[in-house]
Amino acid sequence: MSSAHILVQYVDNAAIVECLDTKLSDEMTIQQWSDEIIGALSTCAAANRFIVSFRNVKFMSSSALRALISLKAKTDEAKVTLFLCNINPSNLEVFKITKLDSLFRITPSEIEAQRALINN
Amino acid sequence: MPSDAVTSDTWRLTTELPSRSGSGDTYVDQVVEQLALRGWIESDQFAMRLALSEALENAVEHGNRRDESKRVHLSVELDSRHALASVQDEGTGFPVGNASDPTLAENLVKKTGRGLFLIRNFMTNVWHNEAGNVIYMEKRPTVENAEP
Repeated sequence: MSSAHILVQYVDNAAIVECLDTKLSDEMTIQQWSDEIIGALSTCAAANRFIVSFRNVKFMSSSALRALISLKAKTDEAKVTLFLCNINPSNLEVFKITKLDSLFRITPSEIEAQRALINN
Repeated sequence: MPSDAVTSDTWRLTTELPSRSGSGDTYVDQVVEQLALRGWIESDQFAMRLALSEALENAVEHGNRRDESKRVHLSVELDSRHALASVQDEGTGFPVGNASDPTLAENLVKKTGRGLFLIRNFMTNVWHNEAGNVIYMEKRPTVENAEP
């Protein structure tokens, strides 16, 4: 499935969401991106892991973090395990400084997310 | 209209922006481009992009409360050794000291409060005017990039 801000693929029991934007900073882009991701979550009932890849994203602001916190709540409700992957070193530093790296399961790539043990 | 000028190594920008999210993106891009031209490393460019973006969003959302009749004032001066930026909104200001720590366990899933925290972590120095409607941000290049 493809839309303006994300590309979704299903592999085994995982939905892999590739973010297509290079910058996630202004409210309109983030709202649309967030709506598309939450829409993808609602259509992947068969998946038990939801993997969001930031391979293309060079910059994300605190507004993007806010959207991810909302997404985490929704995946928890749906009993789907959320993984974030392919986060570049600068953006990863933002997760570390805000300690959101303790809230999210962050892996280097989709492969590690697919291999990770899930202990809900 | 924005004004910018290069005097020897110094580049300056002064402009006014509408109170709309993302209205300053073009100028943030320009600032980062100028830093790159002066040899600032990528992590410092990222820091400046982050701080400016967060400050501009705060000015639009919390300062001017998205009131389109109000403006956001951006000023930047940079060279190879130093960057100084100010962002001013036309709101009434806020008590800067009251900002909570978003890394505390009870605040971790809160959706607000990270912008200023990130600015303070990524900039060398940050200060405000007394009213709290102007933020000044100073960044110096990391040592590995500094000229002798």
